Amino acid sequence: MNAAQRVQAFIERLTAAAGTVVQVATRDEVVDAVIRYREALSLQGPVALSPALADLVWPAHWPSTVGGASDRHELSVAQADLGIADTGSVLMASSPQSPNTLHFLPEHEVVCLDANHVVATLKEALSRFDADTVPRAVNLLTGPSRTADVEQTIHLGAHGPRALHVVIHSLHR
Amino acid sequence: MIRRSPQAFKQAAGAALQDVTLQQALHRARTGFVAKRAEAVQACPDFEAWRDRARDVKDAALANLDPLLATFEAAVRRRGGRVHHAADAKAACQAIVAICREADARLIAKGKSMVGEEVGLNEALAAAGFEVIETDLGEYVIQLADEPPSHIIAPAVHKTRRQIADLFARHHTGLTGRRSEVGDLVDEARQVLRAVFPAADVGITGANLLIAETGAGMLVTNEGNGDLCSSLPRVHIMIAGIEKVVPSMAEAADILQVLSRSATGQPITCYTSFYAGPKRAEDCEGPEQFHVVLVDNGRRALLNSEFRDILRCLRCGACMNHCAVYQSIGGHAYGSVYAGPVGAVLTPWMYGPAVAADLPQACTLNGHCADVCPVRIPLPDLLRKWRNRLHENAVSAAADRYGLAVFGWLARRVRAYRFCTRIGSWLLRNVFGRRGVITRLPGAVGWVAHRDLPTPNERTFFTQYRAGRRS
Repeated sequence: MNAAQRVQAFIERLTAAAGTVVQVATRDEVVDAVIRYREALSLQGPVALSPALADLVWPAHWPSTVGGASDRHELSVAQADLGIADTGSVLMASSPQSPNTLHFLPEHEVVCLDANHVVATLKEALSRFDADTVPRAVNLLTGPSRTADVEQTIHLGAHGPRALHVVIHSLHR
Repeated sequence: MIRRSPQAFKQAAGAALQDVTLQQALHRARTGFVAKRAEAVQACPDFEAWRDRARDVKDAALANLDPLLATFEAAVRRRGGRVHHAADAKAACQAIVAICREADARLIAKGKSMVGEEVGLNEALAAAGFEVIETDLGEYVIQLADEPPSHIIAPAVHKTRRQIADLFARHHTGLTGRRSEVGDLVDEARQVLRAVFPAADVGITGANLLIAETGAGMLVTNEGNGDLCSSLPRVHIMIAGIEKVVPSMAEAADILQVLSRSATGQPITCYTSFYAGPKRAEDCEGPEQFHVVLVDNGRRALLNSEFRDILRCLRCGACMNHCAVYQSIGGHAYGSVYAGPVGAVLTPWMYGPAVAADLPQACTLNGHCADVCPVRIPLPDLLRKWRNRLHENAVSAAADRYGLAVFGWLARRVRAYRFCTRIGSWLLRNVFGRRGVITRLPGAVGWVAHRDLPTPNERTFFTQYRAGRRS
């Protein structure tokens, strides 16, 4: 599988898990994708930006903070370390630049993923972590939070985000 | 409240069959789980090879259990966490109560844990004066109802939407109005439980696997509550059976590719997480303390027994989803933390064979559980081993044992056997049989109460066979 095929497989799997995906040309354009997402859903609440994305130019008028998320954030924007083609998951390794509360507290999460960081299999992704490289938290996210505990009926948005939107950038065809 | 008593299995199973609401809930679950798994497996041409791989990973880890646990403990300590060894249920509860006391805790947010249920953790924490709130939606529902879980991965599978709506209306007194739609009920629970995570002093979760090399515990959920319990409170405690350890992250991937497909039919759950130690020096968030409580509670003894294979169990629930008996009576009738085929093997071990003697008998040996087990546990073979043991140790019902002894004696004596079958056949036809059907039979009252036994043919198989050979 080449990078484009891996990205294609990733999109198919994530979409099947109720995640949404858009592609943009460069990492800088991720900002516009987040602006469009926010406008399309009429979101106006506080935004939690990952420190890993603080180098991008975000709208100055947004009620945004850089760092971890709290209960009052409506939207978080985080950066994935890896995408996984065979499961449609994004892998988030926690660090001071990537706090893991971003993935669980806000109602919406947008994840920025470099197309060149999509690996073929779950095993390939997990095998990168050994005793020295494992962070405090490795979180694989595959679509929005859900539960089927009431009569086996799937409902999105159990405790975590109700929506997971992945912006893929830098795919060179 | 439903009490746990495997001794009352027959009575409880009978009551479950008559419970209309329960039967409705079970019917819905039966069709859902089975179809979803079948669909997921069909999409994976290599699934049978993945099951082999998962079985081999678990077997290799069990063969190397103590060195792996030592590696795990060293890795957790290196990251600033602590490992506690609990020989039995009491020790596990004591260790966790001690951690909570030392942390001066009041409120505890809990993620779902089967071993937590096994050791009676919630009861122990409540007795020690802590407030424990289950945060998995299904567990939360049954906590409100004061009932034990009836399924490994869907603890409230026996509850209907109407029953859940009633529970919420009764307990959520701060909210107005009774909600009854699924989405509204989930949102209501989300709203109520949201306040718990940041307020909790301690978060307790289970672990689906322990990774020796990295000192991480793996958590598989769909709701995200386990991650909130692991990340927001200032103390995170993981409780896990010692059999959960695997060497490295690569083996975790081998297990993951069969785990959720077997359980819910998902290729992977929404959240698969690995937690290794407390907040690091440079981190801006995360718990200050990280504890892992390793529970033995009979597992090392199992390792050296003829039931060793059951230690491969991943607690996915596939065996119960596909079990004819579980599908008919649900989980509570088993009177144990573990229901279905895996429960019928584990419960006699945990509670003693005399108490749980009926469970290994409640099996049709149709083999569906073994066909779907992601780690190829030969469940019907293990149940047969229990039946043998119960028979040999005279724990099984006296009528069963004498009946089998008489049959064994007859089966080895051809003339006596033929004589008796002729008499038996005549009696069934002329004394108990009416219009080709037997509806009452002394000694088998229960059997014929729900089924019709056809009357035997006038000529036995053997007479027909001989006649055929002669002609």
